[in-house]
Amino acid sequence: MKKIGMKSIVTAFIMSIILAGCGGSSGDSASNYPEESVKIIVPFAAGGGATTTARTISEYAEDHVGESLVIENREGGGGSAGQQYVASADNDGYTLLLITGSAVTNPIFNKTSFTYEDFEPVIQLVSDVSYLYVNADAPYDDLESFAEYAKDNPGEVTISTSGAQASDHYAALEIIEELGLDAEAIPYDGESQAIASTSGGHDEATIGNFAAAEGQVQSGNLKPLVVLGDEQTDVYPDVPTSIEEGLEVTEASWRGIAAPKGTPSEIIEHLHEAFKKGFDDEDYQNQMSDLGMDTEYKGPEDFQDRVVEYYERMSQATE
Amino acid sequence: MQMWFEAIVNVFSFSILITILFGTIFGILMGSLPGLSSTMAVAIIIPFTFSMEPAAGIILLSSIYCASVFGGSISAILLNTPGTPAGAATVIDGYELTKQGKSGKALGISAVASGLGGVISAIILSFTAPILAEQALRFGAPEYFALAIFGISVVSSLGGINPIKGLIAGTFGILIATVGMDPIDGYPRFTFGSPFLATGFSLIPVLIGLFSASQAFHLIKKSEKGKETKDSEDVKGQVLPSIKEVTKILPNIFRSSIIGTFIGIIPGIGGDPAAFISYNEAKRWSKHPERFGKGELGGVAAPEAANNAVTGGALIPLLTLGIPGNTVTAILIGGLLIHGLRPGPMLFQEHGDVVYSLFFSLIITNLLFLIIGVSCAKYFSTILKVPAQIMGPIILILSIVGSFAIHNDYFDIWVMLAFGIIGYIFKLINVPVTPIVLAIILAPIAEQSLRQSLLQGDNFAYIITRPIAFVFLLLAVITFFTPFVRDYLRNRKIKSS
Repeated sequence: MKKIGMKSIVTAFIMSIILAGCGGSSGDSASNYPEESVKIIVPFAAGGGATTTARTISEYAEDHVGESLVIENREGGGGSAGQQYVASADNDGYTLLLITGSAVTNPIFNKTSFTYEDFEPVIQLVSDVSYLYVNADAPYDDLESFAEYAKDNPGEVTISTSGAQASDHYAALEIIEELGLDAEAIPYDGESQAIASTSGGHDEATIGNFAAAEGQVQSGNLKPLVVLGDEQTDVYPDVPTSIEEGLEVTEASWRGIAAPKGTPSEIIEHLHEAFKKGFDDEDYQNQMSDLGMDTEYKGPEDFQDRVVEYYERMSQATE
Repeated sequence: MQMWFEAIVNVFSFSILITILFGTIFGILMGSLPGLSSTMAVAIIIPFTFSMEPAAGIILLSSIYCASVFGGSISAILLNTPGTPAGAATVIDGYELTKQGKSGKALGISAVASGLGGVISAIILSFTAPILAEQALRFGAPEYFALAIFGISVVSSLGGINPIKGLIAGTFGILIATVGMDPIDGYPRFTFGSPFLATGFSLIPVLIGLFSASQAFHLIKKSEKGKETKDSEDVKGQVLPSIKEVTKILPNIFRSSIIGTFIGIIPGIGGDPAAFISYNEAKRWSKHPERFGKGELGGVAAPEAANNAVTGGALIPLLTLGIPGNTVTAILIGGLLIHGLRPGPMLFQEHGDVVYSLFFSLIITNLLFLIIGVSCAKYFSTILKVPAQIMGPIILILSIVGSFAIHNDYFDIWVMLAFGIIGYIFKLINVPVTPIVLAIILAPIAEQSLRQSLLQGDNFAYIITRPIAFVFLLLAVITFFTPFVRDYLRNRKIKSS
């Protein structure tokens, strides 16, 4: 019996040594950064525009960062679970956030233990305008008849959104309020579920961007009603803007990379340069445009300004 | 069609073929060792697929899955102990053949039947899943709710003789699933202010704990007692079945594969009933039913074709709706999600390349283990001689490393160990752990879709009046209460006699 016990211990010991050998050593000084792989937390379920943004930029920025970039989806609570995780992570540059508007809105609407000020913006990558899509079989083709339909059928119309505290959910609520509809906004677990539900005719409308919804437009399940912005887009040249239609609701999802507050400025600078190089790569730009995402660069300071501006707009919206 | 060409090109790359080869060999090894299930084999490898390409990662996992089911027949035939629960029906005629000195022939037939069963189901999968995926848009929140409830309703039949045990485990799973933020309002529940619990328990550490670590504890305990597992006999007799033998059992293999695929589609049922049902059907259709149980080749072919056919069937609801058919596919969801692949109707549109590569790789895997099975059968008895005191620690350490690797969080290791202990205790008191997993996966889907349905329709009648939802809810009620009714009838019979 003793002998058998020894065998177990020896096997365990050998295995631990082999496996320990696989890991690298870790240092903590900013000057040696990075010495191990860098995690980018995407605070939403896999399969949406945020995940795609993170994966695409990682592909092109990885070589410039100097270590592998690992994308991790930590969904829950409309993004606040993953944002909370990054806000409380070590500010050593090894845990980053794929930051979206929800990192600003979640603290406004919920009792989160973080605010948007807990993140240091590194770079803005995308500013993606959203559209109001409706089921392709619906009897309305423009915003006016949609609003009419909703008024004739009170309580019938539902708008699917990507999450309870996502900015598209607030845009849906704003649309309902502006147009004076008796309708509901229903949160799903990520935009692909929200889009699938409206494509299947279970909800009447959805708010989404081109990249996420175009597949269903091609399959003949969805049609775009309005651009939620002030400029018409190349992809849908016939679709009017919400401003033209007299609807004062705009929705563009900006996405970028942020680090926890207090991350050393050398690390922010290193990351910003690396991501900028990836951003300027022609292949990256082409791939993003194939994906239907509008790239828009902002450096750390400009990006910070945009975040603050968004905070001001959204905190007014709730008053 | 273009998708298929792309898939073939993808799969016939060196790295993917090596991945399939590794997965197949690893799967056969894990499946053949008694006590190491397919679920465990897949759970333990998931963290290592993290850094792989999405297609390669999911192909690795599914090739392990398919090959481990075949592996289960090896110990069933040579040791009279099934390597995986799905191999239980193979024991009947398989071990009989071993006693007659024909273990080689039994292994050969098992390899051929398993391989063909797997190929047939992979073909059914690749042709039906894309069609079903288009239909999947018909599934709105009420349908997802009904389907999730149907999946959960199986828990009462997973408790073995005692449905209450399945129910206890299922309820425990639902409780675990409530930890974290609520899906509609984002309100944190049972997190005790800990950021680690804000997203709930991470699925994969929980699964590794329940299936791998708990098994490691058992193996370590077993070796402590000094109880040696019985030694396997060497493989005897010719392995390669003759053309005549194969053609004779082809109808049997075909029938069993169809049965297996369809049983695989139904959430929660899995490989073991499929194997037994096919065995009984093979016996019923045979011209010589009296030969079954006495070393009939058809008695090995039927359950083996069926349990491997379950693999393709179980992937159908997983890929089209995101609803897992059994524990292995529940774990595969985790494997897909870490690569940004969300199972469901959109998967075929957004990641058609990965899906079709997966289909094609399944066919390759099944053919590959057929070849390995026939050509290497002579060496299988050696695998079974690995003592428990070596296996236990290896599995435990892989479990720890694997749980840590997913999020690089020490917290996940504690979660894994805690669930390992829970799994160990559940096994000691004979309560199945499968219902826990089903509930952990399906309860959040049920909760979120119920609340969405109620926002869409204001009351429960909205759900009941939708035909697809109604049918699934009805099936759920029937599935849930059948074991209780069966129990009641049996007790009454015992009393009256």
